[in-house]
Parts: sequence; structure tokens; C-alpha cells
Amino acid sequence: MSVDSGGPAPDGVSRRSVLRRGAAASVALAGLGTGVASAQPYGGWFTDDAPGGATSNYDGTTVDRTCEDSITITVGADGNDGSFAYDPPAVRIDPGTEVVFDWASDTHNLVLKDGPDGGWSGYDEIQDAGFEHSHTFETEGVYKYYCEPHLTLGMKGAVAVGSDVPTVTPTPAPSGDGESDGDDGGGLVGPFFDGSSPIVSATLGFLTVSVGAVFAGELLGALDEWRAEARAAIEETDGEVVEAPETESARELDHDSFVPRGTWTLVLVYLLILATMWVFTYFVEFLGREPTVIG
Amino acid sequence: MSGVVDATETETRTDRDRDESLATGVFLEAYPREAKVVRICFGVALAALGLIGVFGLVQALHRTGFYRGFVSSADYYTVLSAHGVLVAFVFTTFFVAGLFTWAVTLSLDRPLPHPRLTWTWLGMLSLGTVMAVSAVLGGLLDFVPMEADVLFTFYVPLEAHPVFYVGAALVIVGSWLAGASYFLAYREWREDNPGERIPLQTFMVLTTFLMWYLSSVGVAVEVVVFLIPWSLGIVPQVDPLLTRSLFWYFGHPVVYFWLLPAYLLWYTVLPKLAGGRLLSDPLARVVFVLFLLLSTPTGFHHQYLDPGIAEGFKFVAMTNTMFLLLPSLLTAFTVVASMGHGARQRGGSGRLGWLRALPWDDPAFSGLALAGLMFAAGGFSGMVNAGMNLNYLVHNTLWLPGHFHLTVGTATALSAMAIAYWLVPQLTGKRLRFHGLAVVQPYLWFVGMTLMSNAMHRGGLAGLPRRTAEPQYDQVSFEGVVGTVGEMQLQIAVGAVLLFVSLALFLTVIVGTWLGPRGGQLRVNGDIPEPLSGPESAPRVLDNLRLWFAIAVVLVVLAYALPLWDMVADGVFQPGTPPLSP
Amino acid sequence: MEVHRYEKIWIGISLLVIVGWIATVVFGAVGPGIAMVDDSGGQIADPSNPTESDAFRDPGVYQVGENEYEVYVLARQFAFQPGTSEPIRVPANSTVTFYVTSPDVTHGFEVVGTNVNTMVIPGQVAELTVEFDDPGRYGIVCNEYCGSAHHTMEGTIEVVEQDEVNGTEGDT
Repeated sequence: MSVDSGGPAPDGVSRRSVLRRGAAASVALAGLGTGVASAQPYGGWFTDDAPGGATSNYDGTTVDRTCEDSITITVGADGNDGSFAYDPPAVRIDPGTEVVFDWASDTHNLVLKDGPDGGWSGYDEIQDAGFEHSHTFETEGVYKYYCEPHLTLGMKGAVAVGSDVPTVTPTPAPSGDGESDGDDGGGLVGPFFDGSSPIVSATLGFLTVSVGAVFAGELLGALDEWRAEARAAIEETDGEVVEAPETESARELDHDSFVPRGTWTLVLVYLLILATMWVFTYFVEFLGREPTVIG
Repeated sequence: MSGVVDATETETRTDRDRDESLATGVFLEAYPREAKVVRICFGVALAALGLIGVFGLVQALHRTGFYRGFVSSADYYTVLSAHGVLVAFVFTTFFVAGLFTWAVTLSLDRPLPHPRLTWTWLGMLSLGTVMAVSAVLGGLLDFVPMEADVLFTFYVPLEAHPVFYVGAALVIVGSWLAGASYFLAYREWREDNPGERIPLQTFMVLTTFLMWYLSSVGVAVEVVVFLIPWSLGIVPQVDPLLTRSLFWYFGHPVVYFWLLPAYLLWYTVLPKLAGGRLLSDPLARVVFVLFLLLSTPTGFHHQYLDPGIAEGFKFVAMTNTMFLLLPSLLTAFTVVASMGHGARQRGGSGRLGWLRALPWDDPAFSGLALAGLMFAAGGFSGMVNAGMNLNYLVHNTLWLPGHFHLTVGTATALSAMAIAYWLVPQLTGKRLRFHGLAVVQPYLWFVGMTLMSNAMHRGGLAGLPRRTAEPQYDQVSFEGVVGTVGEMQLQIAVGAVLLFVSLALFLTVIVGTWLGPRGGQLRVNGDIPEPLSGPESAPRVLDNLRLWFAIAVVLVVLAYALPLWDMVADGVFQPGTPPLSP
Repeated sequence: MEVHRYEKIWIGISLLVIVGWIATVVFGAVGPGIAMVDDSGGQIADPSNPTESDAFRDPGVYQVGENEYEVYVLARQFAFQPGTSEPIRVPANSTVTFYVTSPDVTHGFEVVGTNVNTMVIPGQVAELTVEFDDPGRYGIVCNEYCGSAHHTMEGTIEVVEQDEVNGTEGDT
């Protein structure tokens, strides 16, 4: 993951990723945990490592719209498996340019992820097709924004204001973010995957290989054993398939001499559990929860 | 083989003929063609089970947050759809077809008629499976231009590729033809045996299939009339409420279609494995008749929280659902008592001490028994689901997957694995290999499922939603009633790993057996002893399948005519929505 | 037909369990007055444009009586309107009726930790009346799979002191 270049984040690898092999992926995760910083456009904002995953309509280029008074960014354009894209996703403008955000489909907003102090603050309210929001960008810097309902589809954008503002910034270590894939499972994941060093992954790899080797050895041994056992068994019956003999009963009981007392005990225990759970779920859990639906 | 369940005192000529022809005893040698059919069905079912296990593990680790490197959260739903579709349409259908082919052949003691029909339904089931599953898995592979991320419930207006719907329809129709095979076999037998009671296993198969014919019409209409034309663009829009109601018309009885094979095994094979005999043949018939009558007019209990359906219809569905508890509670008694009979015959005694006398080291027995035990627990959570207003508490929470992993996920799946240990040797003529692994496997499943399922139930009470890749939110927190959410996630993940290992052990044993040499003495004996109280004491009316089917139809009409009329009165396609991609 | 005495008693107990469970549910409906979501919310002829129907108003909170409010919520891929970008604000000690529908696919509307929970089906309006007694904050999640970003669909309800709500809120 940390080896992702700043180039396009191809759709095929990120969003539609096929089942990767566990070992490879855990090594990658280990690398991620160390927080290696690398130079990527917009600090990796459009890649798989950032919140929401990769942005499929971002091809690694920033559209140059400097020297223009007013430009339009389409909100809810086609992309990211539906109408979940900003078009263009990344754009460079001069200070003083008016940007018109034009809603082409429903249920989108513009939440500012980060930008220069005193600059544009995004547009948080969710709006539908036909809505427009415009802002004249005066403060130089890089503005990163996303659509709240569709962030996980990769609906993200960026505006670079000023011709000299660099778009390539180091990737921040993901630890502080808390939203990248796989590290926020109710606070439980940390001890298992966080801060893994190459030593830990090497140990894990070694363990996997050695357990696998032992298992394979056992399996081969067992295979030899059954071959011998099977040959003996087949010889015993001259190759015929023979059923096991009927199991002998210690005694024969007919319908009238069998009293299902043990069964009676078990079903009564079950009844008791049933009644207790019933009172708990209905009267304690359900009726005890407010508010409830009364009409 | 000589003492099959239908051996009554009225010994006929055919019975004697049969006894001579079955001198060798093993199913494979008595019915080589049927054994092959069952082997193919089980082969597909167990291969599907392997995939189900892989997808299940991926989901459990993903949604609990322990490992999210296999797929993205968007693709989680593809994996979830594959898991559900493989369980609902592939594993269960093939297992049922295989098991019922064995049961009908064995209990009628004759091969299935019309071999061409058999190969036709087997072909349809296989083709439908390949189509539906490849449409779903296409969502994970870039070069396959198909997607069907619509889960097993495929709620409109989420749209799948037409190939998915056509595949599902083929599986349904294939299962109908399999049923036709069983009915034709029965008709031939009846001509030779006028006046005899229907052999118990065949009785169970026929009532199950009558229930299935009645209920699967719902999904067939949904798919063929609405979804296929809609996904092809012939029909511009369909009504989401109507189509989901048709789905649930089928969606509850289908779980009995999955469960009744387990019931068949608990009634007819489990007592034998325990060293005893079934307590009562008549009660077993009563139970299956009740399932035929009550399984279908209950579907609205999946729609308690649907707007657009009047409360009265929901109440009727609840009443029917609650009375479905009766056959299950009856089964609990009869089956446990039959095991008890075995334990006493094996020398067991005492109020609870008899349990020790049971053959817990026989994986076929322990698997079936533990499956029954977990089903009893699932029975309770099912009662909660059925409790109309109580549904507010658990609807669409993790409680539901907790519930059905006890029912279809254990009662059916573990029973299927257990019976494979007993039946695969009889179908292949090969001695079970890795017996030690097989002995451990059901217990491992039991422990894994106990961990996973209890945590899922409690997570549901805490409000954790089901069907979600990441049940964690910026503004929403969940508080466990019993235990913490973190502890539940841990139990789910650990449980899923144990289940995966258990499944791997099972597949190792079965594949090992299959690859082994044929011949020698098997570990199993295929003879099924007569019940203690036989069919001769059962009222004849129990065997009147026409009557029961007619009553079942009437009950369905009573429960469904008015609400369905409400939905279609404003136009069959109204209020309609166009397809939307997930 | 031979049925053992214990089993006969067990059949009786089973029937009692069934009747008892139905009676419990009926008690919940009659005693605490828990009502089911039903067809009273009405239908929308063109599900894609709910606000054009008489059964649904523009999304927002409306005061309809002294302590009575109506909240119209649109659940859509992947947000609640209102609820996601701004919380649904209702006063404490009020009776609130939620009208929820969807212009796109089937969703869920679950107020976490409460018994407020419903399906949201295009073309149907789910109507739920709820009493909020104390100030507080509740999370809303979509609990029905609605597409590839389903797991991000959430919102909040803020129950605030009476004086913090200023009269009728129209379009929010």
C-alpha cells in the first residue's frame, strides 16, 4: 500500500479488488502501520489509503484552469460506480477565481477535509440536482473536500489555489486519521495489527510456514497410514464393500416398557430456559426501552 | 436394508423380491444410478459449503474490523451476496435433492423412474447455479461484465444482471422437476402396493415438496413475471412492496425446505445412530402435515415493519407462525425420547445419566444431536422474531444472522455434514478416512457457533445492524445490554475462525474418503430399524396428501388474498420504480 | 396411535407456550399501546418524486400542535434528509410523528437504542408516532442494505429543551 505511486489509482486494484492473499496483505498492513511518508499528490487524498478509498475518476492529473475568472465543478457527475464524482476532481485556479459547484444529481454536499486558514469552508448541507453553490477563492492553498454520503465510494475533490502552490505533499502517517480501512474496529484492532514491525510480520510468516510444514508432514504420514489400512481392509473382504455389523443392544425395550423420564427432564429444563428468556426479552428489554412506537 | 421403515406385517411378493435383490446391502450396490445422482448432488453441495465458509470468514473478519484486507467495504456486499446465494439456492437445494433421492429410493425400495427426467433436473439445477453464482462473483472480477450485489433477498429497485435472475429461476424449476421424480416414483410404488401406508421417509419427502410447490410459486412469479422483464428493460418499473411480498411469501417456507431434511434425519437416522428406534411414526407424520399446512401463510412476519401492510394481516401471520412452534416442540420431545430409547438399550440409566451412554464419538451421531440442540436455541430467537411488536427490538439487527446461523447455519449445515460421514461411505463404497478429525469436527462447529451466535444475538439487542460492512459510525454508538460491543466483535471473529477450521476438517475428511480406495468393511451400517409405534396405529387420514394440500391452499388464500389484492388494486406495476444499481 | 403420557402433557405445555406468547404480544399492543407500522402513512404514486404527492411534504420538522410535531424524512443513498447533514431537532416532552419514505431504493430507519425501527420502501410512507420525554441525542442508522456505501448511512436526532426550538421550522 505504501508503495502506491502518485500516479493513477486504477479502479481494478482498489475498489473492485479481488481476494488478495492474506500473507501479502498483512505484510502490506505492517508497512502501513509504520507510517512511512511518501510524496503523493494531495498527500494521497485520492488513493486507497485515504478515507473513503480511491477516487476512480481521478487520473493523477490536476486540471489547469488558471487565468480564468469563473469555472464550474459538477457535483454528482458520473464516476465511482454511479453518479458519485466531482468533475473535474482536481483543479488548479488563480486566487480570485469564482468556482461554481453545480449539482447534477441528488444527495450531495461539500465537506471540507482541510484547507488554508481563513479560506473556503465547504458546503455541508445536502442538496439535490439543480442546486448551485459558488465561492470566490481568495486564499492561496490546497482545499480538499468530499461528499459526506458518498465518501466511501471515493467521491472526493481538491482545489489548488495559486500557481505556485505545490500539490505534491508527503503522505501523513495514517495513525492519526482513524478512518482508513481496517484500523477502527471498535478499538479492538490495534493490538492485532497496529505498529507491526518487519520483525512481527517475519515472525508471523515464519509461524505460518512452519505450521503449514508440520501440517503437510502430518498429512503425508496420515496418507501413508490410510493406504496401508485401506489395503488391509480391502484384502480382508476380497475387495467387496461390506457394511459394519449392526450394533448389539445391551437390552431390547419396546414402546410400553420405555418411559421417557430423561426426555421429560430435559424438555422441562428447556421450558424453564424458554420462559426466563421470554420474560427477559419482552418485559425487561423490550418494554423497558424508550421511546417506543405508539402510533 | 432388510428392516426399512415400510416393512409391515403385510409382506407382499415385491417385498420378498426386494430382500433377495438386496443381499449385498450397501446402497451403492443396490442402486448404482441413484447413488451416482446423490454423489453428484452432495459433491456440489459440499463444494458450495467450502466457498460459503471462505466468504463467511471474510465477512466476519471484515465487519468486526479485525482484518479488512481481503476486499473493500464496497465489495463486502458482493461477498455477502455470494455467501447468501450459495446457502439459499445452491448448498441447500443440492443437499435436499441428494438426500431426498436417497430417502425415496431407500424407503420405496425402487430406483427413480425416468432416468432422463433425473438428468434433466440435475442439469437445470447445475446450469442455474453456474449462472446465478457467476453473475454474483462477477462483481469481484473486472473482466466479468456482470454484477448482482443484491443479496439473497434481491429487493427491488436494486438491480442484478438478468443472468442472475434467470439462474435463480432455473434452480427453482429444476427443484420442481426433482420433486416430480419423487412423486412419479411414489405413483409407481403405489400401483404395486395398493392399500399400504406410505413409507415414512417418502411421506416426509412428499409433504415437504407439496409445501415447496405451494410456496416457491411466489418467488417464481416475482422473478419470471417481474424481475426478468424489468432487468431486460421490457418493463420500465415494478412495485417494490409487491415484489418483496412475493419474495417473503416464499422466503419463510424456504427455510422449512432447508430444515425439513434435517428433521427427516433426526426422525429416521438419529434414533438408529443412538442405538434405538423412533418412538412414534404417527407423530412424525403429524409434524410434517403441520409443516405443510402452516409454513406458507406466515410470510408477513418478515414484513412486520413494512409500511403499506395493515396490522391485521401481520397479526394473522403471527398466529400462524406461533402455531408452527407446535411441530418443532413435538419434534424436540419425540427425537430426544428416541435418543433416550437408544441410550437405555445401550445400558444407560438415570434422569440425566443416560446421556453418557450415547455414542458421542460417532461424528454422524454427535453432529446430528448437536445440530438439534442448537436448533432448540434457535427456536427461542425465532419466537422473538415472530413476536410481532417485539420485532421493533430486533428487526434487521445482528440478532437475525445470529438466529439463522443456528437454524440453517447449524441445524441444516451441521446435519448435512454429519450425515455425510454416514452416507458418503455408503454412496462410494469407501471407508471414512481421517476418522479422528471427523470425531472432533462437530464439536468444533458447536463451539464456534456458540461463540459467534450468542455474540450476534447480544449485538442485535445493542442495535448493531446486520448486512453492513462497517457497523461503526461517527455519530452513533452502541451499548451492549450484556457485555461490550468490543467483546462481542471478538467472539464473532474467533467463532468464525473456529467454524472455518471445522469446515476445513470436514472437507479434508470427505475429500480424503472420496479419493480413497473402494472396498473393505465400512464403519457404518445403513439399516434403519422400524419405529416403536408403527404407521399401522396412525389414522389413515394422515396419508391423504390431497386433503392436506387442499387445506394448505385454503390457508394461504385466507392469509394472502386480501393483502395482495390491496397491493395490485392500483395497478400491478404501481407504485413503480425503475432499476437502480447498488 | 400410542402417545406416551409425558408427551401428551408436553403437547399441552407447547400449546400453552404458543398461546402465552401470542397473549404477551397482544398485551404489548393493548397495555403499553405499541402500534405496528402499517398502511396509514399512505402511498406515493411516483416514488421518485415523493414531495409531489399529497402523502409527503418537503423534508423537515413541522409543528402541528402545542406539543406535537411532524417530521418528514427522505432516506436516500446514502443519507437521511434531515438527519445526516443536520440533526433532526425536536423538543423534549413532545409527541413526534415521523413520515419516512425513499425516492430511490429500500432503506431502514433505526433509532439506535430505542424501539423505533422501520423499513423504508419506495412508494410507501412509513408513519411512526413516538413520545420524546427527556432531552438527549439519538443515532439513526440505515439497517437495510441499500448499495455499496450502505454502511455510511447515518444521522442523528437531537431532543432539546422546549425553549431551544423556535416555533415552526419549514424547509430544512
